[in-house]
Amino acid sequence: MLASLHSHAVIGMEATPIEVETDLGWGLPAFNIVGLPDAAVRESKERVRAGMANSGFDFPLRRITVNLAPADVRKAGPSFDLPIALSLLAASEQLKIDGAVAYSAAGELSLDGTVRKINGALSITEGARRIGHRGVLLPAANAAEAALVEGVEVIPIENLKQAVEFLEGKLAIPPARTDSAGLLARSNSISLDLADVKGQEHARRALEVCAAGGHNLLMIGPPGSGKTMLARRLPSILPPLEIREAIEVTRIYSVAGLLAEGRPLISDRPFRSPHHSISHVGLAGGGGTPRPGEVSLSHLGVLFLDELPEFSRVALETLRQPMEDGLVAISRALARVTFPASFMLVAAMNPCPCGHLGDSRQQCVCLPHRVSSYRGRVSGPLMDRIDVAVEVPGLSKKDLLSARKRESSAAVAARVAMARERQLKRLAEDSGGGSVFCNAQLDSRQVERICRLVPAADQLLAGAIDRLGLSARAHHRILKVSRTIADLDGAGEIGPAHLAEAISYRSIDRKGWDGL
Amino acid sequence: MDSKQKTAVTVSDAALALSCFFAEYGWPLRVPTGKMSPSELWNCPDDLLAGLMKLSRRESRRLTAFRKSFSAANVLEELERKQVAMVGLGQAGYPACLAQIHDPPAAIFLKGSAAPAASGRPGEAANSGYKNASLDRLSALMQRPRVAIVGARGASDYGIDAATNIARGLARHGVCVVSGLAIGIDAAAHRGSVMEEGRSIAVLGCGVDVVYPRGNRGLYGNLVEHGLVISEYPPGTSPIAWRFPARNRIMAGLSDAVIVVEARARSGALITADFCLEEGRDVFAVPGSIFSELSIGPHKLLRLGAAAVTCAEDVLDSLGIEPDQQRLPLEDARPPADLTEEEKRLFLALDSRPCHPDVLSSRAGLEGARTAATLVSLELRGLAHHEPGRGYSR
Repeated sequence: MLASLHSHAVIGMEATPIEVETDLGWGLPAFNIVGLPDAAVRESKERVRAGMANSGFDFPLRRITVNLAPADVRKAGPSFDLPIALSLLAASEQLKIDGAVAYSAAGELSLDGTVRKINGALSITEGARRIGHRGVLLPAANAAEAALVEGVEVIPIENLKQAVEFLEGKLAIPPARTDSAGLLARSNSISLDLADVKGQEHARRALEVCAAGGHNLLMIGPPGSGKTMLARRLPSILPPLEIREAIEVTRIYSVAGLLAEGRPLISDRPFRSPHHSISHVGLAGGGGTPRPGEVSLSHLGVLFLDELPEFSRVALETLRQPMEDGLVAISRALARVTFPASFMLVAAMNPCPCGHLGDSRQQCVCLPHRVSSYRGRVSGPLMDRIDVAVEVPGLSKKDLLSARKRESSAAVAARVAMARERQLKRLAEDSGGGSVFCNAQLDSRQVERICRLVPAADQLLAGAIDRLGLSARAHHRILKVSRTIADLDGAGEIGPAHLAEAISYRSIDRKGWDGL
Repeated sequence: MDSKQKTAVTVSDAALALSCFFAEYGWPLRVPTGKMSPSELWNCPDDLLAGLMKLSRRESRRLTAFRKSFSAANVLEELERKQVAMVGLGQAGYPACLAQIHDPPAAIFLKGSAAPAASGRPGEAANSGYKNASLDRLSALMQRPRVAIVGARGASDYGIDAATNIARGLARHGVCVVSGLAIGIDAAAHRGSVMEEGRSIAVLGCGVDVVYPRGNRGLYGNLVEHGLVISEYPPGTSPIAWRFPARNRIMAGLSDAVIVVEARARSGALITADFCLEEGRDVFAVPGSIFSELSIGPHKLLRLGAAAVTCAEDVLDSLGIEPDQQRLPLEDARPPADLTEEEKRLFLALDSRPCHPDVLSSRAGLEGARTAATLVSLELRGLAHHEPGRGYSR
């Protein structure tokens, strides 16, 4: 009269093993689920009741108690439907198994007994592998993503009946297989190409530098100058995801329930562009059962914030920790979870509230104090974390009509890949790799060791600090960016030209940016 | 009686008292300084003075209270502490041209001395030092021809360029540029004058020790050091909207001519021009685009008979100054000899108005990355100037 089965609760990115125990007792017929279930789990009993009945099983008219152990972990979501139904069937001896079950199960039940897609299947499969299960019963719709995990069988389940027959050994279901390398290779068909962007030599170059060094970028320019167009093409010049990275990104999307049908692996670098009305929870992640926010959804990809000053200050402040640490920690009353959030920030803003300051085509109508207060909204710690700021001018008629074909993404990507390779090699020599993969992530001590200047460049830097009013904090950023520029150039040491170009990307640090 | 006892007040104390009263309750109250001297006014009995100033009953009660509580010594002490000089209407050193206007200020406060204000203790010698320096500078500037340049705060690039260019031309010929230290055209006019190391007067709508707008504090410092900052309000008076139109009459009074650069339909610059017409000064206007709101003001003046200005020489003629042929604007600066080939090409591509690096790179025929680097090296040598959000200029 007592049966138990393993399942998993996904908390943050990690799956916690949960034991689903079912007891059938005597007394008035009742169906109670205990062990901190949320609303979706409590409603599970109705789905289980109908699902069992419509699959040809009897729903026991007994006093049913389902315990989800450990009892102090909050359980959320409908993924416990399948394990509850199976343990109930086992307890009522409609499912006969000998000995312990080597499989765990997760899935939502439909009223007709079919098993529906759930969120976090990839994390659940990894959890099952970690605790040494032989395999995991998952909805067929989730099987492809779950099979990215190796070393554990993923059994795709269509409906409740199938699951029972499989566990009783009457039906053999071959474990799902996913050819991750094949998916990855097939994917790199990015349709957006830098060749489509007209004009904007300066900004294209800045984009290339950012891609090569992993630097955060701010584009300042009037509406319609192509800031969004440029940003959208950044993933096309970044190095393609490695298989390990692709699975990491897929896991986040799996937890968020954002994996598209037929695309089990996120094989392209994510590009997220949330609207500026987004809340800080939407950006950083959170909620009663914490879900990944935009910073995590753009992990290993690009987070594009258009109209940067329009974002709420609270939302922008939440960017600081992920930009520094590459992950975001979310603390709530019942859970503290960490999501990976290592992204490249690309921000765009107008030079003034009306957008036309410095635009040759249209006159700006803003009063200077409005301009400085507009700019002031994003100054401070966030600006500190942006390495490259570039002005994107409005396009002239000549540029717009020009049919000249520009350099394609593939050509730029090749240079970026070379520069990244040089960085990795140097970092391996310097500190044996570690967690630093590009120049943007260097800490201040590494900057001093790695970003060495030739004497002429040293003089130039000293002059720039005096003359341009560059702050001390700008100093390190300039060194990092100039290191990247030298890497693109294939130079061992940073020369004056590299440094001067890096300084030209720091206009926001100069006198007169917010004082006007 | 109270007012009887006060018969002994000096010109300076009376002027000070009137200024303080005006600063507090001023516009649209008018102190009839055109008809009577400050001491004559201040020595009137309360009810007569209230009548002269056309005060309502409530206002005249305020006047009575003010006269009882006013102490010149307090204000004088503040002047000393803040190193602000003062000259009353009728005193030696009060500009004659200003005394002629319909309602001249009872006193003007001046700040302008080369010596930094950070002296140790306020000894007698130091005090008379700043006073004399300011007054000397005022009278020296009054010997020169003076032209007011006024216009919109939210000016266009064109207006800023025009104001700067004309101010430079005037300053080069020894003309003193008078303006209001506001943002936009005013700041451009002062800046143009400063560029040529000219002397410039700023007439403020607040106390001379109050820097408003704060964005112009650099310019303010420069004017205190090399030019003059003037106000009819005692130190510490805060900038409030009504004080700005009132100060326009002083700008008009101090100047021989006024140039309106850009002004919307209801602009303070037009008030200044009206004062100038009333006082019989020349009015000039810089023509603008007929499609721009900012041209409404100057074009209205042009229709009314103002003279059009396209360069400083147009104004110099009417001031009776012979334009110096040799010192006409020199825009084709030559690149220094020690520049590299790339730097030279880029230097020649630079313009007086800021351009984006992309424009410059196509003009100079250089690659984008090289352009960015070369511009910074030019900037470090002082051969290019960068304006955040706008680009590089010469």
